[in-house]
Amino acid sequence: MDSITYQCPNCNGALEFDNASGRFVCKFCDSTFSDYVIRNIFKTRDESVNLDENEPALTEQQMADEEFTGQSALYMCPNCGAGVICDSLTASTRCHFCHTPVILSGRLSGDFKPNLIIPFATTKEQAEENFRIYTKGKFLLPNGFIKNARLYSVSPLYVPYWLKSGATNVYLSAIGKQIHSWSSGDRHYTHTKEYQVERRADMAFVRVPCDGSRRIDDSLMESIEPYDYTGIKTFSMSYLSGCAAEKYDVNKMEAAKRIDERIREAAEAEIRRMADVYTRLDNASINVTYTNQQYVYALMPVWFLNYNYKGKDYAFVMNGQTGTMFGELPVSKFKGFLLSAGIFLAVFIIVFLMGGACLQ
Amino acid sequence: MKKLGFKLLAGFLVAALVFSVFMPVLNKANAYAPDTYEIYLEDIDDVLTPEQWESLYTLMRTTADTARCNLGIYVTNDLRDFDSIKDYAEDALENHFGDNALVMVYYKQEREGQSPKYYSTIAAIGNAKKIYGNHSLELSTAVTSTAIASGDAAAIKKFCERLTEYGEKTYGSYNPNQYLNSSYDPDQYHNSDDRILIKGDKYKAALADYDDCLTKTQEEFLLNYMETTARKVKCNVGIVITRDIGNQTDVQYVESFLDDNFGITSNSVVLLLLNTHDNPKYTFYKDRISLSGKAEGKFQRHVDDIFDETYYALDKNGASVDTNFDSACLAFCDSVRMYGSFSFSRFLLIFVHNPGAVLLALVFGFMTSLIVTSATVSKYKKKKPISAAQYIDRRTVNVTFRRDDFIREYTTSVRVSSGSHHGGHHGGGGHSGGGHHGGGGGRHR
Repeated sequence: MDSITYQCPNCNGALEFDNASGRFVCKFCDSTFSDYVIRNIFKTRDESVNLDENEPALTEQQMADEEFTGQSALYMCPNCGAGVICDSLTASTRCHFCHTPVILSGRLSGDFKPNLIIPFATTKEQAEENFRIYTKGKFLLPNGFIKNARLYSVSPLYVPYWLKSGATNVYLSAIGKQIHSWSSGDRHYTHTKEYQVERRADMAFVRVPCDGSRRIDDSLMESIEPYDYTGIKTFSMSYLSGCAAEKYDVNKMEAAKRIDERIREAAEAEIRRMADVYTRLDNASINVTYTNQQYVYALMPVWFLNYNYKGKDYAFVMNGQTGTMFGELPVSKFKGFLLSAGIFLAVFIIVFLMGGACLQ
Repeated sequence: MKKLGFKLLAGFLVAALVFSVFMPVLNKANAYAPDTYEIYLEDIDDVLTPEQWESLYTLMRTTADTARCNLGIYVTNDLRDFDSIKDYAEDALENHFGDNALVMVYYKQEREGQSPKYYSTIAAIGNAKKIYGNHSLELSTAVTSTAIASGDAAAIKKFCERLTEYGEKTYGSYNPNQYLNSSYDPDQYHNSDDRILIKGDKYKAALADYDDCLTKTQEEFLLNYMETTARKVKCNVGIVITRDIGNQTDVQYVESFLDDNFGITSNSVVLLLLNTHDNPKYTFYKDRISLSGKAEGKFQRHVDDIFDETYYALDKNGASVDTNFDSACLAFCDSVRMYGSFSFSRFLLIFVHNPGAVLLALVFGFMTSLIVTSATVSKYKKKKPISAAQYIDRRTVNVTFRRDDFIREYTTSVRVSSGSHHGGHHGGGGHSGGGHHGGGGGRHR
């Protein structure tokens, strides 16, 4: 398998992309290079790799076969020559022996070549700090969690995403009701006006995302959205240097189902908003049609933080661009009991007094 | 003599009991008729000078007319055959006066080498006993203390002045021509503001007993208790007991009392005990509780309960209503404390009276606890994904078709059950500044 390492033009040391500065850094001679410089230096090589991209991509069956035989799982480190095994979806990693960033260019060729990428804009330290902020003030968190939870990995990963753009046409048909109520004497009156309501609207959605990795929970990825697309760039393998990356294993059509579902929910809410002069809409029928659909394949930056607390693993993810964090937190049963007992008592006392007074 | 004294004492106690039981009846039966009241000033031992005697005798005339009872003052420095000054007074009362009389014996005990000691006692019979019996201790105390400070004549003069004061408070100022052609009219009673006792700084207590239902000691204790209550419930507390409200209505009267003593914008609760329910004039008037400011929120719902507690104390032990005013006022304060502040006893009360409230609270408490805890725990486990509306390009949103065709209209109505209305007043008729009182309520005893 072809593997690439970006080397320092000055000392031939391995280059890594520095998230904080957005420049390439040589850890050996401390040289820094801009994205533009590195691209130009390695232009010829990247183009040759791109030529290879014209080769037909491996089918799912071929990949499975390769993985089974272990052929694609073995690569040669360009720096130390060691043979290292990785799984079939890994597109960028580090040599387990010399820790040099290695990009498996073959994994990003053909259909698997991403169109766009959002580079990391947050550092490992920021990820850990955000985790501390995220857990701060969480009453139900076990007392010893922050102190005793063992952080055993913080890794930056470029997650494959499908981004769908396109126009939608939304049609709403419903019975709209305008309801006014008032009281007079001991009677309560309700006046209702009914209308046949129809709305039709066009709207465009831009880059609605859906992660293209089966082993990453969709809801986990959606919880750290949105990404700021103003920071999106044309894909270049150089951005992967120093970060892990995966290729997609959820194809475009599979991702489209999830994306279309999200678009339909948003379109329905939007068309209902256009008829909000009515108190309520009965017998609503909404039809959403999609036109001019476009899909792009992109890599999005995500920090994965894995904690172990009392023998159980807890995974947290952080948007590598915006810093939005989410993860499942443990809940102290005792604190949960205290909270529910406290709320019960407070409500009991209030209702007891108010209810008692009302019933007297 | 001892036997006689014992008999007199027993008779006195029986009479007191009879009077206390039948006082309301007697009170109603005694119509005033203008009489010339007998006065008797005896000074066998020449304790007074002739001028002092003359002066005091003249004063006694006015006093007797104002107090509307026969009046005897016995000044002596020798008890002679009597075992006690009390026997002396009872004997004088029995021998010199018939019904409706009040006698004061002033005994100046002089011993060689010692400064004189002063004693005085009051004995009364008939209507005088009924009206002034409660003041006997205050009267005799005033006499002896004045005697020590200012001498004999001053002491007796003090007695007359104090009795005149009580008489005025009961019957009004003396006017020789006032009742010449009229019988006694209860409406002629007047309330004088100097009877209002006020205590407290931030939260005040005001007590006015125009009907002399409370002794001075009771008044002092009650006022302190009211002041403590006021501080505890953080609002002014007032009690007014009267048999006459003039030309005002019960509501106007109690509101005026509240405004005058606490202020229009204050947080106050005032109880009016209208002690003339047998008078046809007051057939439609009630005892009242007037509330203002925050007190309305605290007590409006409990007006009936406060009346219950107050009336229970007023009627307890099967005794005459008039003897229980002290207990009733204390019970009123206790109720105000209970409903005006957070206390376990209030919980118990609601629990006993409202099992529905407990059930309601249990259900609400459980449901709320379940919902809030579940929602909080779920935030630790899941996060609602953002809506795809985030990705709509707002510039492209374009409504291409809109239709709103009217179909029909209709009106429906349902009867709603109105909540229970506690008796209360809103606004104040001809009362100045009316409309500021938030609530209150009234009850017939």
